[in-house]
Amino acid sequence: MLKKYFMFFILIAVSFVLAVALKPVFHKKNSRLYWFIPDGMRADPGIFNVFQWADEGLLPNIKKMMSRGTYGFCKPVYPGHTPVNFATLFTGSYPEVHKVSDGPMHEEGKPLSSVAVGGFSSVAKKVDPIWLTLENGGARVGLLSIPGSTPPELKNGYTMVGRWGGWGASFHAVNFEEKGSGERQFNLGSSKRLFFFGPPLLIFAESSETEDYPGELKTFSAVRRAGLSAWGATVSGCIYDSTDDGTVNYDRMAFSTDGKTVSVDLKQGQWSEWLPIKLLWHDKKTDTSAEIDTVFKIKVTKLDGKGFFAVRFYYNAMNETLTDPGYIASDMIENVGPMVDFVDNFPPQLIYYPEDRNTFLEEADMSFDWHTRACSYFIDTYRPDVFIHDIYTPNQMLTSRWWMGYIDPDSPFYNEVGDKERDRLWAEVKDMYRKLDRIIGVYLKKARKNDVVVLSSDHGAAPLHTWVHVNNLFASKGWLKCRQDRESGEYIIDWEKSKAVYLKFGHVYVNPAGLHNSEGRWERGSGPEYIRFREEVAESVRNLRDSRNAAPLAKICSWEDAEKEFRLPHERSGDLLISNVPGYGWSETMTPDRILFSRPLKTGYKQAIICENSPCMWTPFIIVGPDIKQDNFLKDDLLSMTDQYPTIMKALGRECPGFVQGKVIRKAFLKEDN
Amino acid sequence: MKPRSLLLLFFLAGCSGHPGGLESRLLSDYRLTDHRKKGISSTYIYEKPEGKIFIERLACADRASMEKTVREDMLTVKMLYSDTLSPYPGYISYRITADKSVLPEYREKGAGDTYYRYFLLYSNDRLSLGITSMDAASHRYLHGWITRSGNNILYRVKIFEPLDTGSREIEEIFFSLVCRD
Repeated sequence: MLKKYFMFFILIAVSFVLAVALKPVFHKKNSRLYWFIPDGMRADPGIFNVFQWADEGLLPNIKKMMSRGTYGFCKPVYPGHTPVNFATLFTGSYPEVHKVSDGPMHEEGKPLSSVAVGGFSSVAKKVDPIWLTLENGGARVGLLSIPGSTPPELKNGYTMVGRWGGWGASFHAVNFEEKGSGERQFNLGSSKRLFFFGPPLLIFAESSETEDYPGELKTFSAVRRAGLSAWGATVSGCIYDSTDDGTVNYDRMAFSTDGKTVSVDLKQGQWSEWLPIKLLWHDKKTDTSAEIDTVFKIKVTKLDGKGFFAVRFYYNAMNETLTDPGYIASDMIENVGPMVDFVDNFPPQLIYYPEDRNTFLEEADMSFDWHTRACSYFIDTYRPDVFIHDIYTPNQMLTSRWWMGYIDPDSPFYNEVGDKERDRLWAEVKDMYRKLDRIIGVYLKKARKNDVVVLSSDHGAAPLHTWVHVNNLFASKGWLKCRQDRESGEYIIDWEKSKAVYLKFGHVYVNPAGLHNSEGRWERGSGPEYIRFREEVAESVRNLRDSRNAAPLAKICSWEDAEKEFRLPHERSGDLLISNVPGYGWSETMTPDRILFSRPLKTGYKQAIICENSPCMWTPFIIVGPDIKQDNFLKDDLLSMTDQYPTIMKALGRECPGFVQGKVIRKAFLKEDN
Repeated sequence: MKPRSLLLLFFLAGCSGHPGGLESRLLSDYRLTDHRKKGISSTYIYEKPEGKIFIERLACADRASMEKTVREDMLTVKMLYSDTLSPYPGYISYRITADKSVLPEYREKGAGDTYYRYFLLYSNDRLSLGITSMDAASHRYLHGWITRSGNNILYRVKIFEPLDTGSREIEEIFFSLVCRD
């Protein structure tokens, strides 16, 4: 009997030892990787010299990374857009290999009227991203807010809120404002909607006097009530006058989620706490829906004495449909709080009223607070071998209306503010960098001796002073046939009769026989007439001059040279590829007056700029690890985005897959020859 | 096969058993390569040279939460192919449109007290949802849910087979999974 128990004990012991011994070993040195990649974190040797700021004491954790590691400035690949450069960072290859040539991508045989492949989707990449390669090597990987990470690809890791992969129920923040005359609604056209034509980001609501309002409101003027409806939920907003001064001067707005009791009562400038709400996640195509229980915050951005209001609803950005596995969402929300992923929307909404600026800064702070807590909690709780983390807020700030145009002397708007105001704007921008530094502090604190910590970004940001309305040019030449819908203001293109169109961010599609065939699909043109017409279109773009007689075009080539000139995949490129000089931005937007140039409301931009000679587009790269040289500034080398992947893999002691085009930054290592 | 892999297989085969309360005569064609447990979820991964099956057993709190999970899962799949909005879109072209050939095909079937709901799809070589054209397809993919009346156990099943696998063949694998919970 004892012998039997002994044998059983031996079996259990052997199984345990085998289980431990055979667990896939991530790395011989057992190094973990913490890779923080803030979106749009500009760093250059000029006015955004983050390494100098760190030396001056502004960024103590970046300073620690510099002292403990190797660092330098890095140039993004073309176009300097998020999905392209994230794909490059995660594959160590150029777009010609990973095939993410842009955000919206078009392919031959598909209609140009819709996007064939979305660059933010994980399936857009044609080669494996680093998270899969490392997971296949035994690593437990966590991804937070990483563009291109959803639909999830990790099989044994944690994918949390991959930005814009079309996966899960995302409820973007919505602004509401008093409808008024409707003039503003007409002028805004489609830019009041998410991604222009999605669910509205700005909803005009009509208020009217009412006797029906919660009894606890003490008002000295007639209450005005407006129904604020978004994502299938209606919140009642009651504008009232709390001052007994004999005049109508509205000063408070009470909100009710059940229409009877006051959920929160706010004055201008105040935020509510998180409030419960049930939202509807609805698929129009199949008319199916699911209710999502979540929470939201209300900010009264503007409320004037006459009752004009502008309010913002910010919805928790995390729920179980946005994480894999789903239970991570409830765990993170319970222990970190509802998610404020990033500030503002696309297109930006916090750019219209001066009060929007404060809302922007407050929301940005909330996003930094959330991300700081989130990375700390996640690492402590889930102990990933690899954690890759992005926050989109820096991009939002540097491309918003309020900052870049007035702090970068390359902007023609630079002198529109005085030095005192500029100092204040710089203080706000540097405060944003301080908050990034605080997140880096979390990683440094969590990292053990052999761990690898990396700071990167996908692109910088340039001042923007002029939109170039390429499609207005083509329409005025008769190459783009369209009409404007009177009600919606949207342009309806006659694709079969059109011969040239510009589509974001750097592509012109040309076909003298019509952009769509009889089946409604785009076919690449060929033959002498195609070549002649393509050259005519190219010449028209080359000849563009603004009021200062400056040309917005930096470089143009035809699709046959896409790989050679831009390292872009020709099969996901337009007939002509066009890049712009910093300061300009190509715009698809068409206007009835066919103007070619206009002043944007936002003052920062990054997309179709060639980065090599544009320091405003550069980013930081700092790597800290066991074999990495310390206090090693590669000041004479402009690093390449493709080289980060192989350098990180070498620091982890891992081999690179065959598709990787980048080279190890050998100067970063203590033994350069290894 | 390396000795370490053989030992791992030996260990997994000895310790993990079949996937919770699911049984299938066809699983003998596969080998169990991984079993992990996270919270209410237990996942079993089966592989053969040209195919892979993920079976996740979810012990839901109640029937309503189980059905809510299924509904949200199904909507996640549908929305991926539902002319979703393109981020940073143009003024002119702004929706991502998938080819008809890769659109999910929903089916359901009852067998006794077991209910099978599933989408027939295609995946890429990284076994991901959401491809928009057949050029990107590498596998035939069945994404399904198995429930049984009388309990709150949900099985999430993902079956990946070679691209030329017919609907019936992949359905046969799915329907061979029988609940014993």
